[in-house]
Amino acid sequence: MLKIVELCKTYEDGILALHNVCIDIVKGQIFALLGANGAGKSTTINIICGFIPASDGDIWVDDISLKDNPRLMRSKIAYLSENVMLYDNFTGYQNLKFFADISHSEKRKLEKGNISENMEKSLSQKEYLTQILRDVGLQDDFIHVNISKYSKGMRQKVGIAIALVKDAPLLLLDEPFSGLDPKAAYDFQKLLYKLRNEGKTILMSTHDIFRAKEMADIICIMKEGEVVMTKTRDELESEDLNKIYLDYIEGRVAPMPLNMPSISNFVVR
Amino acid sequence: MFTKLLNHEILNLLKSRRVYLTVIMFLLLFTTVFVVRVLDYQKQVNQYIEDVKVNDEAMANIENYSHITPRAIQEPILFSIYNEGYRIQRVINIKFYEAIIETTSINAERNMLFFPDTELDITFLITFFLSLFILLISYDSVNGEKQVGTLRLLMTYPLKRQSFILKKMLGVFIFVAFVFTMPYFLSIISLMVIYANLLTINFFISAFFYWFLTIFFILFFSLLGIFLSTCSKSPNQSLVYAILTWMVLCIIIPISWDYIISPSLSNERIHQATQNYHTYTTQAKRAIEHDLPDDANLRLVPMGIWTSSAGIENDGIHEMSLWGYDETYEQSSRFQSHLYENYYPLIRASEQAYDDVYRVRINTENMMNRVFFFNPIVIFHNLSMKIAGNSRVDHLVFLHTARELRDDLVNLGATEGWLFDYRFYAHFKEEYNLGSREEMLARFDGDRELVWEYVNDIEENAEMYEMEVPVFRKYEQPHFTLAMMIPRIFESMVLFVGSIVGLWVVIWWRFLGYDVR
Repeated sequence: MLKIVELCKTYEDGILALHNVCIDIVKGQIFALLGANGAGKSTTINIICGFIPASDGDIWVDDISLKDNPRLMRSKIAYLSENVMLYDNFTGYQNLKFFADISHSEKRKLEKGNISENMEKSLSQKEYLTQILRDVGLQDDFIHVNISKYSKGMRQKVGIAIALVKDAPLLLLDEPFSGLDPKAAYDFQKLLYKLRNEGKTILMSTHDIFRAKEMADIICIMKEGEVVMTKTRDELESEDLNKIYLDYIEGRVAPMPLNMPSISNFVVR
Repeated sequence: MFTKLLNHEILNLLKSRRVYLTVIMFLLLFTTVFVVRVLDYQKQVNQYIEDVKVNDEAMANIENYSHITPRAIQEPILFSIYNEGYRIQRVINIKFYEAIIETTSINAERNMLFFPDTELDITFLITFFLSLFILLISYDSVNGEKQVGTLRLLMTYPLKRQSFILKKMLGVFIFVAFVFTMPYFLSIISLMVIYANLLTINFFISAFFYWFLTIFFILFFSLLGIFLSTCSKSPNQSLVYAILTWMVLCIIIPISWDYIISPSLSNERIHQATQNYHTYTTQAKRAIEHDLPDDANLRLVPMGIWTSSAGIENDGIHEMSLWGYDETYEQSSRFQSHLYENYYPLIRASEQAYDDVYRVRINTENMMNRVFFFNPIVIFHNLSMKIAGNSRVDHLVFLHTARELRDDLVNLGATEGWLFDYRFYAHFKEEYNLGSREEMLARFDGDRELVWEYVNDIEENAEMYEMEVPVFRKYEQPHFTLAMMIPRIFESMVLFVGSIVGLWVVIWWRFLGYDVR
């Protein structure tokens, strides 16, 4: 689903942000990126989203290369940041409609009209979008209220609704739980499980070790721009992730070799 | 897709509180200014009609050649919302042997919309604030979205960056253009309703060009605001940039040019030309005051009409001066010859010298337009003057036309001989001839009051004159046509459009490498 191969990023001021990062995520997995500040989590996500160019390496989403077709690749990803960014002058519904409009028309253009409009055929666009906002747990009373009056959790819900409407197979979540109250975080977690069950692939960067262990199918620890550990949920079942994390971060354990099982079958094109 | 982006941008602008306030301010400002302008234009038109009437009456009642004082009266060409400086006084009295260097006014009221010394015009203030408003709307258009984060979200869509920056530019531009255009056309419609019969096609051509120009002005400043927005990380920073840029373009450059650069460039030349002007006027003054032939009576001629010459003797007592036909004619003829040969060339030379002063100023202005070709305020000022027909060059053309009329009239008099003829001097028919001064006094037993009355009666009776008013060319105002307008504004327009395109390319290039994080 998502393949990152030998991704490198050196900033203009010479700082090496990423060095040979390789990640392989299978469809329907939740993949958590752990790491201290400056470890390269956000840089990785920024490169996938196309905010900054990579210095070397490539990324494939659904066999579409970032280098070859960045615009088509961007249609395959949906992004949700720590502080959900929305237009404050518009209501939740209007924000959703705007992004729905641009994602659909862009898709139509890119895929030359072959987009499947499954739900929209049976429902009008308004009903469809309202239903999505309800599905992500936004109260009806707030659907037509200006975003400026939303709590952080509510913004998060609209953000995820926007990501859902884009109908992208890969969700990129940058620190999605930070700042959420426990109830909102719990709701959000449930929503992510639901999405995973629907076949979405989720890549999230987080500081929250416990939630990562609870939710993620694969956990990856990054340090100073390199991947130092990648383990599946089963491999970590009986281990103390907190301790492992600190061991890696403080350098008490040597990084895992690159030819780890999860990406050994990867073929570089 | 692009339409959706654009709609969203305009809606977003409309919903923002800051823009909401700006729109109200815009509308209030424009509406007020346009109402004032429309009223002012109406006043100008009324004034013009009144001036023409006064002139026509005067021309109909011409009694003799020496009474011919035709006027060159400029029609208000344009309902210009820009500088009205030369429109206040737009009448030239064409008199024989008078230097034509300035316009006068017949019925003008003081124009409170324009202060000639500072060129501070209510419409100048619009331009001044219009640019600030546009910058205040657009200064955070890109980095504001970056700060909120919506830019990042948008960039995860398969959108072209060009589409985003284009919608930003068009959003601000369409919004401001609409806010400007609405009151502009409303005011024109109100003019059409009130003064339908007076508005010519030229008026609409000029009004259209003015609107067109302001649209470019708005486009330039929208782009400038967006450019500043892509130059800085935070909206606060770009706000400071925007205000600084505005101050440099609208205050520092024009003021430093007017008070520092321009004087240092042209003061010497203006001084020289002014010296020449004074030399010629002094010589002319000498020619008419001191170098007169002894037998030409100065007092007689400026009084205009033969019979009304009431002299002031050396002791200061008013005394009726009356001359018989032969004596008056000979004196007049000698005086006219003297003027034609000595004074008239000096007057023309002093007009030339005056024009030289003017030309130095025009050259300096042209230099400013070229040096500050990047300054939209300077280009706008230059272009709107050209479109309104209010520039110094236009004023000079007006003076020249009036002088040509004067020269025509003088040459006509010289060619046909009536300039040195008794007819120029309002000779009465034979039966009304008054005789000499002594004869007149004797006829009324020395009673000067009775003589005066008699003379006045004769003077007011046009039938008593022995002359026909010559046919002379009248003033015709050159009216702008499309074909005339385009070459006038072509160079500056190319400069304006070129700088807009240049700015757009720079923004385009910057935004392609813009860090959206």
